[in-house]
Amino acid sequence: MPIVLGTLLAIISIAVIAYPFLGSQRYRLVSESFVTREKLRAERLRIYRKISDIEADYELGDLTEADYQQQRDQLRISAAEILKQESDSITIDSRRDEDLEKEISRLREQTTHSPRGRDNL
Amino acid sequence: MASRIPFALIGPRALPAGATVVFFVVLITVLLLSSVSCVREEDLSLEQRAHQLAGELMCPVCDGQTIDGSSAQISQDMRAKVRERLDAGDTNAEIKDYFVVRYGSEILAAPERSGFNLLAWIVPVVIVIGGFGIALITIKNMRKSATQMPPTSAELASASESEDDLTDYLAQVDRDLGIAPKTKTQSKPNASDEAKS
Amino acid sequence: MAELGFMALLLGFALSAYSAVGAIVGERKGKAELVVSARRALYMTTLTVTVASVALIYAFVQNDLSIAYVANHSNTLMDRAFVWVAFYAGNEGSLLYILLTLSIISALAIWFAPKRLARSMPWTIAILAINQLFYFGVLTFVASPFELLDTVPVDGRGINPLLTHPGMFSHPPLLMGGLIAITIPFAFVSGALIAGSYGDDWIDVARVSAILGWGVLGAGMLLGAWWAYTILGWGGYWAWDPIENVALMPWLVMTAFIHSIMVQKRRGMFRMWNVALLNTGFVLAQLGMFINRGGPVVSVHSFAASALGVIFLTFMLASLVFAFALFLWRMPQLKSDRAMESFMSREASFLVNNFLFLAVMAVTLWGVLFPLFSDLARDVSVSVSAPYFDRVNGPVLLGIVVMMGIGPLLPWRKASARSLKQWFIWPTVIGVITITVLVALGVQRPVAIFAFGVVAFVATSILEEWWRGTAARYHAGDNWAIAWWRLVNGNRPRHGGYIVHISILMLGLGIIGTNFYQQRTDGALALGESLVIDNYRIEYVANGDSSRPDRIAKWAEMTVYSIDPDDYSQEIQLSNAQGSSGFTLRDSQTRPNDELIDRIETWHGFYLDFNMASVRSGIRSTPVEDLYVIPRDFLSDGRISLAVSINPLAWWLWASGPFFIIGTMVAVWPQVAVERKPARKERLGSSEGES
Repeated sequence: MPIVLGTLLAIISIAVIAYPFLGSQRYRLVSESFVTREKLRAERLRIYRKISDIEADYELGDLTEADYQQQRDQLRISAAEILKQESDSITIDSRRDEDLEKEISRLREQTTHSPRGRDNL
Repeated sequence: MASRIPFALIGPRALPAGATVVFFVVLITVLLLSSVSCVREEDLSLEQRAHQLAGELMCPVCDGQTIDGSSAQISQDMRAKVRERLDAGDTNAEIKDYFVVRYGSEILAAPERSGFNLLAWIVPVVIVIGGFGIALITIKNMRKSATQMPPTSAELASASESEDDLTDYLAQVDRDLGIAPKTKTQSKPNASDEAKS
Repeated sequence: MAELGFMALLLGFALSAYSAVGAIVGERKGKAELVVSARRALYMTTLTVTVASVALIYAFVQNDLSIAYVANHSNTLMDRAFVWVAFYAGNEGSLLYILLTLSIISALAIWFAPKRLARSMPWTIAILAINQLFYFGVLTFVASPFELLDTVPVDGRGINPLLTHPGMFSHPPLLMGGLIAITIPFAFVSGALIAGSYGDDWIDVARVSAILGWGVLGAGMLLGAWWAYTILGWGGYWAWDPIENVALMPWLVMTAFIHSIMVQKRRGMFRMWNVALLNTGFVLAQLGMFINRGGPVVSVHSFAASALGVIFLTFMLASLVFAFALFLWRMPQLKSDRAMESFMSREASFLVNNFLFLAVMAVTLWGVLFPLFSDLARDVSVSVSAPYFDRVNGPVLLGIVVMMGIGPLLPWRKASARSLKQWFIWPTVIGVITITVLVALGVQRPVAIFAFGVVAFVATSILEEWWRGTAARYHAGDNWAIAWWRLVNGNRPRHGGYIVHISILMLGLGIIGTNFYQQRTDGALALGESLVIDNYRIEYVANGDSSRPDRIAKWAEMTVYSIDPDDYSQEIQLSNAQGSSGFTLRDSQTRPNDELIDRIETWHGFYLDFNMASVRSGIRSTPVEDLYVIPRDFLSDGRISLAVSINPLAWWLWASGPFFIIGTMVAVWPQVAVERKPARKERLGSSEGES
């Protein structure tokens, strides 16, 4: 009995790891532009977080009005800058061949639906 | 700059020295206090001394326990022996020597402060003082390089891009943050509400 | 079931080896299928370890004595609930448990890893797989828990009596789990460095996984202390023994890490430093694994005696070389975005706090290694135990508590905005008042009084910060509770940290109280006699037998009276003259002001097979002080030999636990993203008009 169970476990394992080679689904490494966009988006969310932290500090009296304005504007500008890069990277992609275009829209779909909480992991 | 007034007393230039002084005052106070805390043995009752000594002798058959902490038979015997020697009028040092002669120096829970074992006590002091020195030098160097530091990407961005190029994006950022455009200051509570929701 | 367990482990060995090789080759050659397959292999190892663990537990439940591990760690008399404890009571089982934890958290980490780390994930998978491979290898070829015995014994040896305590259900698993959990942030950060991702992409993953492991390790140590206090029966809770020290050291480094990662998060500084801290934490966790395997005392002899020790030492050295070679290779890219602007800034205070944590770690490491050093250098054995560590670490630990009050009051960048005077005045005043009041009350021990003052200073600084933040929101219209909750919610890492700081202060109270003000006396009582210590009279009223074939055991019941010292002035004088803190009363007459306040039960057992005594102390615990009665022995003349101590403020040690856990949870709870919805959508014009 234990031997049977052990053999079964081995068969399952081999099936699971062999599946990517046998299945009909084609895999490709995640595209560079997708990773870049994800990174940019995460970076932007981190900046938003920093802005809200700075606001909390300002309310507590940790920052002077001038410091607060200066730091916040700086962060807003870098967020906007990243936002610009994000949309630029999409427009560049959209000029590429059809195949890539499809992938992007698929990935776009994915990111749009990805739970927001993920970014904080 | 009005906010700097409270610091006129120490002045930004003098801060590092001030911080160092504060730290060393605290450190020295703590060290002095801990040396004061070494209560002289004649001030303690025999029972307190027995208890204290039991905490300074290892149980020979246990792993890493003092005889104070162990319920092994030999620990009970050793505790009785300690009490017996104390009643006979021995000093703490004499009692420790008594056990070292019989069980070797590993019977002491802390190495003696002499000879080779002095290393055990000196190295921690070197670590603490050396480490603090390194921390201070690190901060000092980081401060020195503050002036030579290249501007960050954010600063570069603000310098190279005119705000006009980014207007659309800034508006989007403000929308994301829940700030109505161009009314930055008064919308502050909104923004923090947004962060919490 | 031994065959199934062994097959599962062997399979896991193959799977993790495949996973490591597959991930690296797949990444290098750009073969996506291979990377996906490698990732799946790492999920499958979780299944195989689970099967092996279930097989071992099943063997324990079935009392399958043909398996050596089962026969050595259980018997038919064992309470079946302790099967879970027996599972990790020995080397082989605990290694299996560690691997089980590692495989589960690896699978979770890979599953939940954010997509932006896709480039570095193959490397992260490979590092996790190599770690698992090591444990699979040890469990398959060196220390198999499924080793069979040639002759099946009639009954097993039984579980170690010291382990039969409720605390054992959670303390060792949490400790081992916390140590191994450091592998996760290490794998993420190392993966990112190999893949050439130098920014802050890994920062949130590393922070959250590090805090989770750190919290688990901390909770494990606290439970260990509680176990020592309630069962080891010596009235203490922390002995600075090597096993405790090797858990404490990585915890200290990770504490430094979770502080300084906040600087990176907020100011983009300390990147290099954070990577170095994480590497150090990981290597120290491996040191912990090594010392736990190689025997509890580091000495040349126990090291040479254990083959496992050599294997773990090799793995530790390999991780050390790998971690720091990678660090040196990528160091030039780990520059800070900004520079330090002032000594009086939170950045600088974090750096000082880091230095203090590392100092305690380094000093502890020195203490742990000194006996080995002494052995090697001059062939003389020495012991380095509690009296040494108390003395060398005490002042630095106090310094850490001081920094805990100062750091959070300093603003980021430089102390230009916040009036330091305004912020420091209340904590300082309250601290000084505390010291003055204690001195005026005639409390002894200057160091302890100073330490109480520090605790008051830090507590006030936290309350002040909460007060100001809450008051601002209160005036904006929220009620107090909601205002406070919104303050905490607005920046969970910071305020969760404060809650943990409060738990550390409570722990501090307990440590100061028990270290400086413990009273203790010994005595032997016949039934009906009493022992008097301080304001308590403990009367021995009943006893009974609870022996089993494997142990000789007795319980004893005592009643506790609170007394008026005036009723006993004669006896007290006499005992003071003899140099005792307490005395025995031969009669059991109650005096006029005696008041019955409690009944306590103690238990003393002697396990024949283990030649080991195990006791349950009788504890009456109040926030002011614990009355702690240790049954040393039942004497042949029918008397019971007792050690009685009064441990002031010990209650606070255990009260800190819930705060520690809650604070950690708050700090790590995901912050809801500020952004309402993916902004890009709008830029692309797919949806308009939402603002």
